Amino acid sequence: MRCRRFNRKLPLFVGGELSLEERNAAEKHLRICSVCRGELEAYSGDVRRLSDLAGEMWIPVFTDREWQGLMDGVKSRLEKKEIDTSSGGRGLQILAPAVITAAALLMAGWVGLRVLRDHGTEADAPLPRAEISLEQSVMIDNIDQDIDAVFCSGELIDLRQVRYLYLFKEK
Amino acid sequence: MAEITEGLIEKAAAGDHSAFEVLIFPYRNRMLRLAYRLMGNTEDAMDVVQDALFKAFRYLKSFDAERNLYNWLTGIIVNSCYDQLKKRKRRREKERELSLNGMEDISRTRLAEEFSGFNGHLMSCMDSLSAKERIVFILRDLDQLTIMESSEILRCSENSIKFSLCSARRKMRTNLVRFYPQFGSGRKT
Repeated sequence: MRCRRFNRKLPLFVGGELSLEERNAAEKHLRICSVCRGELEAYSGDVRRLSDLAGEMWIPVFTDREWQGLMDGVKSRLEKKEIDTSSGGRGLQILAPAVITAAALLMAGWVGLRVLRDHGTEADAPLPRAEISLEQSVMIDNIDQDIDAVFCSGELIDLRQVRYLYLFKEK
Repeated sequence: MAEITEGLIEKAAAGDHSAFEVLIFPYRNRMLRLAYRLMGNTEDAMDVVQDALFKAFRYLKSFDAERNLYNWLTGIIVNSCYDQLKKRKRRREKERELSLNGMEDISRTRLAEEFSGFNGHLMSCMDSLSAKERIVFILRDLDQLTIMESSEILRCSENSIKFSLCSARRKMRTNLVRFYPQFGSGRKT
């Protein structure tokens, strides 16, 4: 061990926190280095001084009243937490059937819309969906609202059908 | 004694507030002392102890009876303090920036008002330590816990504890010279 390494380890050496191997190396170095011996002496003196001063340190102590107040605070927080948890649980029990019914209705609605979109009604049947590309659909989106119909892929498209084209785009 | 403690733990874990109070009563001042050293003032320390006891009661079911109860409580206190110390450090850095712009150094004035004597000097010296260094220094050098206990509480390796401890002691020695010139006498630098 060299001086620099010893100095790095000095706080742990004085505290007795070095491994046996490191401690032996440090002691071996101390036997041959008077500078590090001086540094060790100075550092040990500081540790003693700090220990003496720490003995004079003021330390807070709970009075009975403070302790009781603190424990009352803990209990009231715990009770509040228990109430929150139980009321949350009760609320869930009450809401559960309503949530399930709403979810079922939403699901039925969604399935209905899918069926309607996929198969359509008799009136919807002749829509030229398959022949309209996404690019052309975008063009239709941008046309002036005063125009009633456009040609698209050789078909005349009634602009009343535009909303269906949106459906097609999404698909 | 151990049987009584185990019985109290079981009752408290089942939701018995009174059993919990009896269980932690012997540790109350030790917890306050630790929180005070970590936070630097009694008011924050009491808040931390209250918060820690609230958490301890809620999670008592997960406490391993083989472990030391005080060390377990210490872990909760330390965790409660850790974030607050980091937040405080950031706040104080901001305050120092403001003081550079001609404003009063708020943190130092506050410290001077709140503390006097060795307590004030020690708290002021610990102010320059990082949150981890401060915690390790307090656990090991003031609370006299072992390196192993400190590493269990902070959930990090013993080497990491030693590294922080070494750094904290160096900084403390340098800082203490400001108040006590006899510190550091005989140093090379």
